[in-house]
Amino acid sequence: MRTKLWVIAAAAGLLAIAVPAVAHHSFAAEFDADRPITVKGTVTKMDWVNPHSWIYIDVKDPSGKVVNWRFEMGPPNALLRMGWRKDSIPAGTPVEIQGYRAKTGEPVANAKQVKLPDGRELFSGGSAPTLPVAPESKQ
Amino acid sequence: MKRTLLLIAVATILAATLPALQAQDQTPAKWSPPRTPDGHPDMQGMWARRGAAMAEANAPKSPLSEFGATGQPYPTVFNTGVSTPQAAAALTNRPSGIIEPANRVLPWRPEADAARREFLSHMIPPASLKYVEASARCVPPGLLGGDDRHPYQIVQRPGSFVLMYEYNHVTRVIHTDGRLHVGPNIRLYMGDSIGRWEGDTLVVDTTNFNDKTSFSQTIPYHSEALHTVERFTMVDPNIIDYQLTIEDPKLFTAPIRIAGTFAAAAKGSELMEFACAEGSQTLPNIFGFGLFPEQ
Repeated sequence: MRTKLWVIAAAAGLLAIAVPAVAHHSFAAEFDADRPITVKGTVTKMDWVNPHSWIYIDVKDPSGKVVNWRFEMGPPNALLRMGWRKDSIPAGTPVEIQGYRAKTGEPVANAKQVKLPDGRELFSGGSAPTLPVAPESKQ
Repeated sequence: MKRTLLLIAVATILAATLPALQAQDQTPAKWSPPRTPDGHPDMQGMWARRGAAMAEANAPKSPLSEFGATGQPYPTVFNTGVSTPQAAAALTNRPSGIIEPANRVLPWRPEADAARREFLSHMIPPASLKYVEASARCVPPGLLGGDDRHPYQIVQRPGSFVLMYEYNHVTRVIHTDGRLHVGPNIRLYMGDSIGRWEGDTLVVDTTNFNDKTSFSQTIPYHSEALHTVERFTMVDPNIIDYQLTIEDPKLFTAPIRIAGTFAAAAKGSELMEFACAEGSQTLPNIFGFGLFPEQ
């Protein structure tokens, strides 16, 4: 399963096409690229919803208080083709997510990459930079 | 000796035949598409659209496409992942984006260009709801404002060609039954589309647009005078050639032509539910949750 997931993720990367992709909306309108964030927490749920999937995680702040963060991800069809499955990260899974905070300062962010307990890293398919860029990509 | 002669004869025949074979290879028979019962090309199925975008040269800097303090536009890094490897290979060297004017410098009317630059300057942070980009407000996409990470489905019936978008659940029923456009007072987000077959090409004429959809992150709107002509031609089992001509005399002094491709989507692809406001959450992320008392 692990190999299969990686193969699918790699294939999705190889298929990255160097034509202008049109995202649902501007990253810059909502998120702050100058506020990257990495949080560790436990998955509470994942919503497979268009135009964006959302992953919710409980994160303990330094004082021990638990805050539920939510991270915007790509559309379900994109996640599916990148190797995600509905049961990829069930509730209770410890994860580490890299992303960019929302400009409002709420516990909301745009996910870039999700690291699973076994070390696998999955791209989020969101609107933040994830794969090592399109210009070198070949169709 | 006899054997040598035979070999020479065979070699001679081969040498004479080869050029003919090569010539034949260079002119393959024209591919003929599968057909619907009424005799038109059968394009039904799941497709991924690529390349159809209004990426103008010398575009003004749009705050919408900047990424971070470096001022770099954020890269378009992810693939929609809905096309097949075969289709991806077939996309190589396909025409893409603005093809007329060839230098991609759009024939702006100076006053219209100035007005859109002024508009762009108010979009981040948005001065009011009007300046929030259309897609973030879940407005239907128009012909170019969607998100091509989402697949499309084509359904054909006698008298209509239906283009279904996963994006925002848009369904464009393109009437091919000879009817005329609706009256001029009816203004629509996706316009009113009338199709006709020119040989194996479906030609779609669309008018009656409203002015509430966008072309791109640097062209955030168009006018109600917009008139488009699209041409769909299936060139092989994995590729529909897509051509779009845009006329908007209030913005541009000449037509603009765009090329793109509908590539066969991966086996098993299907349209999924699209809950724009619930899934996007862009407005609360911009304005804060105070805007939504229930949250």
